[in-house]
Amino acid sequence: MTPLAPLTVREVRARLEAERLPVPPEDALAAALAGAGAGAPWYVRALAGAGGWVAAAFLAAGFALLFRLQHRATFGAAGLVACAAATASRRVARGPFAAQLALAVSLAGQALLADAVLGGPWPPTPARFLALAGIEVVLVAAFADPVHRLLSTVLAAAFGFGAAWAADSTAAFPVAAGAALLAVWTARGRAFRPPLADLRRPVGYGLALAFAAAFLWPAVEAAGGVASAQRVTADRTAAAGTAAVALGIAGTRAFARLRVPFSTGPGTIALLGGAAVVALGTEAPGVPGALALVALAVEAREPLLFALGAAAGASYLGWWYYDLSTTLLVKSGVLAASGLLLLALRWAALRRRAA
Amino acid sequence: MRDPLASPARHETLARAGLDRAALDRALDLAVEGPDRVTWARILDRTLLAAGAALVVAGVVCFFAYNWHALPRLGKLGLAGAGVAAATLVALPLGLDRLAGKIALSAAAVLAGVLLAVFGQVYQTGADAWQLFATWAAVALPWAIAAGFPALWAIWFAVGGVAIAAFGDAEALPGADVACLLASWFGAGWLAFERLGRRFASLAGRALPRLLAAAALAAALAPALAFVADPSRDTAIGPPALTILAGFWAWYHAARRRDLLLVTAAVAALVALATAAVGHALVERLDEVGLLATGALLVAEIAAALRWLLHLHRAEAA
Repeated sequence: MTPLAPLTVREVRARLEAERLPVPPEDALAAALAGAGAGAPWYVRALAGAGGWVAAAFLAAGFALLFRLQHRATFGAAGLVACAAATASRRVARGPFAAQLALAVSLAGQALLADAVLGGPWPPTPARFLALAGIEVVLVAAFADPVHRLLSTVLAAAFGFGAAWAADSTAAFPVAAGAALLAVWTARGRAFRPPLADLRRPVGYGLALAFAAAFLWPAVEAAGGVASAQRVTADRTAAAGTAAVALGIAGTRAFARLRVPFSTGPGTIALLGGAAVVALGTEAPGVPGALALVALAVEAREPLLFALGAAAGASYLGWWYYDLSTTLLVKSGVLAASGLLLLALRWAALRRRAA
Repeated sequence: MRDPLASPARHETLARAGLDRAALDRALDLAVEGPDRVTWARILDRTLLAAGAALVVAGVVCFFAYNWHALPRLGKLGLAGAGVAAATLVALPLGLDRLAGKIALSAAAVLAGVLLAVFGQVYQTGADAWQLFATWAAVALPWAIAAGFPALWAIWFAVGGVAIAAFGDAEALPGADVACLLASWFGAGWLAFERLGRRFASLAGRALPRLLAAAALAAALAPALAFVADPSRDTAIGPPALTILAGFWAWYHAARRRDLLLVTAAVAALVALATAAVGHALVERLDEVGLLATGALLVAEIAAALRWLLHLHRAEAA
């Protein structure tokens, strides 16, 4: 079993029992949970999902052509109807295929809506992007499906980024994404009691993807030459500042769990090492950003979030390689110094354990 | 049978556990409580090692990229060769019965391809791309046999597949012929590892045969769909070849091997072919109504397929 594996229901039940809290007997608990998480294996659900998505595409295209939908107003109305119908049908859908079909119809509706709202003179106003972000937030709450909630969170973040971009203030995006990410993943468990219980993980994962994208963006705009040098610098500075705060909070929680006060020798070494990684992160904010995601994942016992943090770090380095605003020699120094720092921290930790 | 109490204590699960308010609040807090001190220290140790090593390697790669054009020919070849030698020398003392040794030998096999590519670049040998990949596969074969590591075998088959595709490209072979060659290559690999997995414990896992079977199906699906889309541009071998292959695999893995994943893959290929063939005819004759009919046909096909697959799944679980 991986050390990151979450507690099982049985382990939680045993802890509650040990704390003398009222818990149902094991067989009653098993009966209550028998339906949850059971059903088709992932590859059968994947077949249902792919089939549902392609079928929805055929039906939507046939419907649009048959009824000659040409005007943005009709696109918007059809999109809203599709989203509402899909949201209602998902609440009663039982099988994997019906669930995926509802999801696909909803996304097709959202595509029509986005076309209706963002169509016309380019670039659209920030208010139009914010209107779409608001619709996605409503769908996060209303559409009872984890995949849809994740996608809607990502889309809400994307439209939020669009609003920031249209207002020429993309530097606000990493700050907002980082604040939302920390709010979800560092909140106490009871902050997400029902009816919010089903929202925590899909929204948290959606925000993690947005957070990772916020670090990629300065590297992408620098590599693609799509923004001025000042804007790239402002975006990178905002991303680096957010990464520093996120890594600081995640690191503080980790050291509290390890029971290593910062006033002790190892704590001071860790503090200085973390500060050095953050300082190097002013050139490559994706490195501390990915480390923050990894630290949050460990504390939340989320192996998938851990993998996402690692993948975000690797993707960032891939994009950063093509960032022409920094020479390969500087990149080489930053990466090697960051790596050596982490190895030195590990060496210091091992020495302390040996002592 | 699945044990509901062994499932992860996530919020969405605990919310359905029928706990009272106080117990539920505490359970939700426990669900997001991090690992204990010892586990945290172990994770931190591994993460610092992996992230530190990866960043140092990335820094070294950037350093050589910065200086690559300034390096002499022998320096470039020496670097690539040193990588192969270092990975092999690391693998041997670690032992090929340990994961670390297998990974190091796999790295050596991959770096051998880099060495061949650098050799071709430095001396401009004029060799076709397929010759590079075929030579790489030939050079890596002894390492793959020695390691007995499914991941390295997967890489080896992928390199062989790229050699076949590049050969087809160089010789201007019809797409369907190349796809049939690829399907045969991966299919032969599936057959070999279905048998070898029963004889060698290190190859007993299902991941490699599944991967090879899925690759063979994907290779066979491409020319079948291409023929359906435009019969004048491709040979007619695709649809019958896919039907026979996917039909056989669906039957074999449902009745003999009890591997629902490959049954699902075979069914998906058959559904894709049937939908493409019938849908193409419907859209040609009925235009937009044909699109709606194709969507409805797909709904019916998937519903029937799911019914059968879920029946097999329940029979397997019982």
